[in-house]
Amino acid sequence: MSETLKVAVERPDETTAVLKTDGYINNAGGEEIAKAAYALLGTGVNRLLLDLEKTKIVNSIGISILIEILEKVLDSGGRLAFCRLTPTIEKTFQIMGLAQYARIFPAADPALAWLRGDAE
Amino acid sequence: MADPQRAGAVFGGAPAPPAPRVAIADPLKAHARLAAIDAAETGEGVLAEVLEAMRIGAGASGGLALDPSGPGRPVAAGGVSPPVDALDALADALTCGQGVSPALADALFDPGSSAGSAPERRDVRVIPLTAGDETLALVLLDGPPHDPVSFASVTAHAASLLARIRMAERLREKEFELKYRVWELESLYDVGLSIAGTLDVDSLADDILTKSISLLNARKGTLIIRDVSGDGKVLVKEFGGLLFGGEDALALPDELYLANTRENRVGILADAPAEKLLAAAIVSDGKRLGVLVVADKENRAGGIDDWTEADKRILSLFGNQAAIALENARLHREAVEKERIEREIELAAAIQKTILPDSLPSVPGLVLAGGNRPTRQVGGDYYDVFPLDDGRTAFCVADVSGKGVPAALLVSTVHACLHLLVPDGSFDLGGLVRRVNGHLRAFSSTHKFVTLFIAVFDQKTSELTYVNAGHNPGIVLTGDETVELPSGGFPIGMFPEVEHPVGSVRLAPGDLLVLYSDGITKAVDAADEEFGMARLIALAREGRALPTQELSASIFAAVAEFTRGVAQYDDQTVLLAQAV
Repeated sequence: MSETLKVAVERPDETTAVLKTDGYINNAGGEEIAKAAYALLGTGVNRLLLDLEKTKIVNSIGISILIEILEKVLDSGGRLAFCRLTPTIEKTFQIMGLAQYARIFPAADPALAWLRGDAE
Repeated sequence: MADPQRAGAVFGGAPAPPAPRVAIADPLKAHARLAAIDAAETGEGVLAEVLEAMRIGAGASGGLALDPSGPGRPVAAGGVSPPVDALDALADALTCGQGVSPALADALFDPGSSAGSAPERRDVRVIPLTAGDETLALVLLDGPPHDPVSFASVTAHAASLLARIRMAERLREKEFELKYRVWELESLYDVGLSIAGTLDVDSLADDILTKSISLLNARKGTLIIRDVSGDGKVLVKEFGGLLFGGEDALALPDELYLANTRENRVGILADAPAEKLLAAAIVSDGKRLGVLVVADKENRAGGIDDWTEADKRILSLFGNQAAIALENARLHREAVEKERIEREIELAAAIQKTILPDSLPSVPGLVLAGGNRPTRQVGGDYYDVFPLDDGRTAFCVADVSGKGVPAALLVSTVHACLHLLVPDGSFDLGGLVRRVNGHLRAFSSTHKFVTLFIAVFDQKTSELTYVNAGHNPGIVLTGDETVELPSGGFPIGMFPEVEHPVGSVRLAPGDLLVLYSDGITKAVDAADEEFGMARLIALAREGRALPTQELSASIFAAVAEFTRGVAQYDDQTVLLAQAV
């Protein structure tokens, strides 16, 4: 795992984007994700999947930034999902309330299906 | 709530003539705009909406809105685009508690005036939107409201809205804080569960380090612990770069260590590549086992906050968890080792049980009795009796160096050798011992050896021939005399090609031969006094008239009485042979 977070963006379709993170979701890491997410929201994307397979650690500042991203996605009428979280991070997201408004999936495919409305 | 009296206050400068109005005041429309703002919204967007409503309510053409908790810069502007230097001057003026001077007002609301034309004097209004003693926002309008009474209600509405929004923000913050505390507790609970569920200290160390960094919003962390596998090995875990290294880290003070400035640092942390450090010693049973250090607690603004007493408490909890994990691993290792030793003892006991005679045979010319009392560990002593094909009787007592399974296996080897070589009687004792010695040298461990007293009694001649290879002297009680049959050479298995002299003694009816292992004569009491040969000889002499079985039992009883429960470290063996 990288200690300076990197974000790789994939666009499965025009309104959906997958953000693959690699590193610590802290203040700097969260800002990197927010920068990428907001840039995508400005181009018509409103369905975001955050693939955290290569992220093993997250702190409360990173979580607050993720909540801000989630609020913006919901404001735009979109959806946000997470996939491939470590058990610790998944539990953290549950406790911190992220799982109330975003869905968590074990893998990318079911997450993308949910984002597209193919599965509930 | 907003103070309508203060809403029209003019900050700074002499009274100025009203600025030209370019907008129509519409308090009703202003209320409608305020009512349309979503109270769940936060940030600059809300202030921009509030500013717009107040401009409409006042009929002002330009306005600025500031968050007094922010850096002092306006976060929203309406109908005006002040230059950066004017905004900086405004921030400075407000920070210093000064009002808005006419020049500053012109710079903010009529930036083009500096180009030459005489500036139009503006009656700039700074309107604080308050809730109780707290100022929620400052709104600057470029002129007084057309209808101060109606505008006061707009101001009150705006202040009320911001108060609700601020309260909602605080509730969210409190909710976040509450969830964070739950997360903190859950993390500690999870580490506790992990400790109970695994003995993998390596993965537990990873878990403890990442949870510490995560919960304390640290940028970096290093965990160093030793004695993970019982061999004193040092385990190093780091995230964000090693803060220190080597076993020197274990020399840190035992107490929690907090260094928010470089001057507070000591020892090896002096040059740690971080701004602010927090360290917790990992101590178990008074022993320093490791150090957990986190560095640079980040904040939302991108800066680094000081470590606090609450942070120290959390880190110390994780340090304690690490200590418990190490202690658990150590206890587990000890339990495994204890189990291994117990299994070995059971195995050795099983081997010995198959080797030591259950009962001694009746042989011509002798009455035999004997026994063995294993002490803490089994496998050290051996005794046996061999009725030979030619009518003679051979018997022996041996004591193997070492304990446990290795000793039991060596006894087993001696037992096998003797049972192969002795029964047919076609041997000379010296040659027999030489062959057994050669076999042990060839097939047993370098450092293992056996003391052996082996004898052959011929009823026809009443002669006892014997070899004493490093064993305790045999004792013969004959008439009133006591004859010792001393060692004639090294124990067997110790050196190659050794020769042992063969001795002989004639046993008259009633004469008693006492063979024993040093577990009898070297048994100690609480004062560390040995039972000794003198007591053994006296016992044998007193009980010589007893049946040998009873005498044997009385010797064991006397040794037990002497030692009175003091732990003994040698097996005890006695073999008695009385001529009849």
